Amino acid sequence: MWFLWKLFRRRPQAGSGEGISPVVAESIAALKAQAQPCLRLVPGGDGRSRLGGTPEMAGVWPRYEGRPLACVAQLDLAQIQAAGGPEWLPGDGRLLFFYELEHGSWGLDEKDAGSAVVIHEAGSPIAATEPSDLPDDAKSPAYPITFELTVSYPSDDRAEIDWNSLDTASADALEEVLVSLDPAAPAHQIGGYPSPVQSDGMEAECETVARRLGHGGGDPADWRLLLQFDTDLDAGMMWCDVGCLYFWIRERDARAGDFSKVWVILQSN
Amino acid sequence: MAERQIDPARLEGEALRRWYSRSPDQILRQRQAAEHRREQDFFDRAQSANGRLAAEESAERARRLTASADDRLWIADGRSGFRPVRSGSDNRPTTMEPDSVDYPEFLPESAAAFEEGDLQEIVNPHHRRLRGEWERAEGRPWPKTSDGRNFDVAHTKAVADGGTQTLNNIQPMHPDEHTAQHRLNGDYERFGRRPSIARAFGGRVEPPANSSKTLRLPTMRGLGILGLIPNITGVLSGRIRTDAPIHFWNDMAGLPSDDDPLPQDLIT
Repeated sequence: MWFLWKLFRRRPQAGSGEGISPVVAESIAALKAQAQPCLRLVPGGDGRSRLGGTPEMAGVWPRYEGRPLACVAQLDLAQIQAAGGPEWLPGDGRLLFFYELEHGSWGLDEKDAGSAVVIHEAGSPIAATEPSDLPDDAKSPAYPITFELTVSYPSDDRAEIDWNSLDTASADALEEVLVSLDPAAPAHQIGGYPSPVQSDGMEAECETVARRLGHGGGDPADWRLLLQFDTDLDAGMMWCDVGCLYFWIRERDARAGDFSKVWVILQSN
Repeated sequence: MAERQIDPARLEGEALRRWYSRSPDQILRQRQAAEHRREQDFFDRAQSANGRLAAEESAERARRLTASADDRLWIADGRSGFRPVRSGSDNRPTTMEPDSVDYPEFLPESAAAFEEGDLQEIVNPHHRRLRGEWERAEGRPWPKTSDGRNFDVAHTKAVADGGTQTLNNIQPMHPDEHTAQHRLNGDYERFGRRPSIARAFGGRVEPPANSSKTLRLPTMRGLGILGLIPNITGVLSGRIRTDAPIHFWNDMAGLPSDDDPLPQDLIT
């Protein structure tokens, strides 16, 4: 009898709204209405897109304060487009992501300019020669990744949920739903909403720094999430205390193929 | 964001080699299994009248663990044991301590172990929940900066060092102060080198072979009637839904149902 009850009982389903208060259901519906597509980076693929490894580029290896930057990712743009990636990215070539690994760059002020560099490389894929002074800690083995199209949801900061209007039970229920909407770890991502480790609103921080650097004048809403690079011990990457790197770019710059103004922000626990 | 990962600095020898040599499929399956566990935890908790009680018990266990632990980082010592590393500060390098120290309870018996229960919990917190718990406990709103941003959730004991996501291990901190504190502690350098520490203990990094995504969960073949066991346990655990025939058969086959909250539905 117990087995039959277990087999045929009714269960509330995810997102069905069953058993939750109207105000929570309304908030969930609002969150889903704001959902944006994004690409998640998952293990696998043919190695053209990868975390770590030696970049394929013909240009000069980027440096910051005299030290060579570490190549943390190489992403094939044709693969990104084939997977349904954002249309504001170029359709061919590859993006090389460099970061100052030795001390970490938090991206909080203009002094961090140059500590994170993104290069759009369109030439033939020839492995670059690593600088002789590249520290061992900055050399990560290539970790092939591929792309999955999915959706991202705004954080509660961004969605501007009025928690004070909810009673305790509703707030608890909504918190549970928000937790269930969080992407699985590690949450590497292109496009869509970021999954902030701390406060949301990094676009405004990017715009503030851009103004100080003399190329501001736009709107924070112009910034797009070029790459969210989560802590991933499988790939040998940890950003401070289980933190996350967020590479941002203005949409118009990306469309023009100009990656010189990319800004990176590090958030950590 | 992170759910559960293994800190390679806590593994060595065969366990470390196995960890590094996993295929992309294995890594993917482990992550999917972790995601499934998380979903299962969520729905079980949502249905249970005692869910809050269970959560409080879990938090209490975490508090007891924190109280029994110390603030040192423990890494494999290369001889199947562990040794503590004193956290660096003022940009000084981390230092090893003598071997003659008592192990805290949270460490496994051997660094060569590779059992589920021995894994280091590396999680990113769901900060909104922590903030909410803090507000209820303190009876006041979580502080914000002058420009309206939430204060950071700062951890007394770092998450990467086993710090818990509990009220007794967090405090609100201005984002600038939080960043400055991490810089002062040299945390970026210390945690960022953990993969290198693991390699130094003999880990050999092998790039994953080419692979394509496979089934969502491992299947059991060639076991005859015993192959039904996962389906039976799936029904009992709720992994296989029984509210509608289509859910039942699709879950049995490991396929999504049309009314599952698939991302594609929302994109279009």
